[in-house]
Amino acid sequence: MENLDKKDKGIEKNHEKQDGVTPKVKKIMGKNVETVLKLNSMLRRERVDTIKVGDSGPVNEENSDNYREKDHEDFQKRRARELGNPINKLYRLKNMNNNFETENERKEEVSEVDPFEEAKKGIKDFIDERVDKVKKGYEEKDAEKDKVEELINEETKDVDIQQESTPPLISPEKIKKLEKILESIEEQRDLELVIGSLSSKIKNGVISGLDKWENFGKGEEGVKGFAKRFTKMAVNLALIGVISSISVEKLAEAGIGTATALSGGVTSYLGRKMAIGLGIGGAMELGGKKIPDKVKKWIPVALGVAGVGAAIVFSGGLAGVLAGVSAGTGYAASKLIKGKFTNEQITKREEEAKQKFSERIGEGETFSVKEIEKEYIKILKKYENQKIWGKLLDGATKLGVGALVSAVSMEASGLARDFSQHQLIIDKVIEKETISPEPKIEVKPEEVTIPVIPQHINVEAIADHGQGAISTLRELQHNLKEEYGDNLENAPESVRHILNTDAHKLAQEYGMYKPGQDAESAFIKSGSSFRVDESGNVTYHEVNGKDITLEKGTENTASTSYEGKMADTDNSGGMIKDDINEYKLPEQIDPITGEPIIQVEQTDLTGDKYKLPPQIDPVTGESMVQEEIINNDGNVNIQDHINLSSEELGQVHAVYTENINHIFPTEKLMGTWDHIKNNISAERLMEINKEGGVIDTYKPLVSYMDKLKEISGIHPITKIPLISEAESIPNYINRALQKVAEMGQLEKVKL
Amino acid sequence: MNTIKKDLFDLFQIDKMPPEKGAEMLDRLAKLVFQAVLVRALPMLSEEDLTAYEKIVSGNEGGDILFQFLSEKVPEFNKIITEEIGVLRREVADKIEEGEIDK
Repeated sequence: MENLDKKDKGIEKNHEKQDGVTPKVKKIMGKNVETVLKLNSMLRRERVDTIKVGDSGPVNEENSDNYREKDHEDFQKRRARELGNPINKLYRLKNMNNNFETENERKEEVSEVDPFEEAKKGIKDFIDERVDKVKKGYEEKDAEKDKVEELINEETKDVDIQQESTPPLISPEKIKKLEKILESIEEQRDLELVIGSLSSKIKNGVISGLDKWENFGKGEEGVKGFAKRFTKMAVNLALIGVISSISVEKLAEAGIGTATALSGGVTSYLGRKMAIGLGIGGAMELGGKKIPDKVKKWIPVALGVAGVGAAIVFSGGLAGVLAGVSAGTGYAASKLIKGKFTNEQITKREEEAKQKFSERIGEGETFSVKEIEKEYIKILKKYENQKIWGKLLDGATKLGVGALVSAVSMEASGLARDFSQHQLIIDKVIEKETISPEPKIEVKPEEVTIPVIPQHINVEAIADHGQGAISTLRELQHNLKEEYGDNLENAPESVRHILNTDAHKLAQEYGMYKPGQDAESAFIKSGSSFRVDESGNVTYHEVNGKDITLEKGTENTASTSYEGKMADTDNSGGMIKDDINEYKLPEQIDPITGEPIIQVEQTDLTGDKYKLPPQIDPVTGESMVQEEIINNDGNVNIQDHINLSSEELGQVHAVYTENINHIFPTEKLMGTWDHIKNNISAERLMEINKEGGVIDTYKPLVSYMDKLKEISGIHPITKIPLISEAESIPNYINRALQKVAEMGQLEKVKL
Repeated sequence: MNTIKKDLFDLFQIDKMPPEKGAEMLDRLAKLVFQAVLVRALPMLSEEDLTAYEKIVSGNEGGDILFQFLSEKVPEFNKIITEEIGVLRREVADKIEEGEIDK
């Protein structure tokens, strides 16, 4: 039996060799294969015949008699008439075919209605069958689509989508007011986080989680980046309560399925809100390129009409969500594209392509059976793909956001796996950035270029005024930001990594910051630097030491860890001198006159005797709120009379400013300083630190305050109810700096 | 401005802002909610889960994975989100009323 099977396969293979058609194609073509092959056979014979007529080329012996039966002159006239008309040409083939057939074959042909017509029909059936097959396959997978579409159509029949998409803008003044409200809430929440009772581990977890979410999809190119930003937008909408019919994690999980979540039916509550698609979608970028205006108009429509509710109700899963996308974009397409990409249109173009191919044959271009088959498959494939896309979008164009949504939804559902070219098509779409009335779909893989990292200039940050690794890395981030701006499209992986990672975390990754260890920070010699070279390689150059390549340009993670000397910069491993009575509070000196401002007696704990002298803001030189001079133990600090000249006070002022700028190098961080300095007392901040509750952002500040305390011996003033308010951080730093200056150790506390 | 029954999207009239501003506002509002959610959710994680969370946030996976992880590990995660949305909504509504926006 097995031998018989083998024999059958052998016979099949021989047939394959004879007719040049693979079993796979035969399977697709089914019963039509014979008729198609007959047509091919006719074409072959015609070609030979043409050669015989046109010149003195080789004569096919088998057919020479048949040829002689025809009148040479008549044939030439007829041919001249027929050239360029494929249908006539096929008729001519038919006539010729009759002459070529053997007697037996002729008998066979007589029994059929019309062999030529049948051959033609065979090709058409073959094409239709293939297209139907693809269509059917998709429809089966998308069984709920029609129901969803029907529902959406019903819901949206009276709605003017474009009108819904362009709400009038509110005034800039109003936006400013709203921003101010938001800002005040943000500040309050940040403060609660900083001074709250959570452990530093949790606090850092919160900050890291927020960073992670903030950077999701940022700077990423192409469809993936776009999809991530869409996902983020959808999840954000869910996080503020706009989308409540689907859970946040489901949105996140579905990825582009969230495009559906962005929808909700135009007439529905959610749908109206989805006008945001116009704005936010427009604000997003595709592969670093702005979406053109006319495509922007597409976004709210493409996203705004799919019924997530309906989709979820019908199927309760991703398939339904995707069906919703498809249906919605289809509806959008029907409104905007007006049938430009309907199956009919695609079929028309397909017919034109076939016609064109026939003309090429008519013009005497020669093709082997294999070539004809290949050409037809190419045409079929091209328009078959168009129909798949068209089906997905229900007649929508492949160009524009609608296709993108659909493409990613295909990817998400696994449908696209059969169509490996879809990614390339999308890439091309993005490149074109426009809607073309006659898009060219065919994309050759070899045409797609792989982005090459261009050469960049060296970007460097030098630790030349006593900074640590974290501060220097922040400076590097700042310098890179200046070099690249917001467009990281061509930036090396390493640059993206650096810019998208918090400096503390980056220092940790490079092994230069090890929180929890006594010697937690890399010992950075003055003049050492971080450098990103022309290829994006990240190097740490240590003065009088060797260079370490921390990260390669093509990577987005640290490749080497720093193994040099570490230092205990926060005193976590050492004893902090805590003899609070050793130093007495300094007298406050007027920075202008250099004279003591108020003399305070420290005799008992009553009355106004314990009021702090007016505090001088080291930056503005103006008086600050009066505070008590009482130490941690509730004892009164006896002030020192600090004799600082105006020049020395100026130096204190300069060190104060430079150190604060150093600790909070960016505008954003400076905002956190402005916030914390007015809301947390110096004492409380240091207490929180002892409890392990200070987040990374403020650790450098606390380390600095600890250092000042250690050197100056001055402690922050304690709050005593009804008697004193706790000392603010700027006040404390100012006092301590003055003391340090008096001790002649100002250089020691410069950061 | 009548703030009754309006959600954060409506209160901030995000759809009536220029695109970039609207996107920024949405991000900031969502971040506030997410921050509050994390403050409540992270202490509920076991030591082991917290370590896993830290790995996620410091790893290369996308930010979307955070939500999946937290929804698996934190009991009634969605309820926390809903509650925090409500808290922020009320806070914003109060401030808008105080600020007499639109009047």
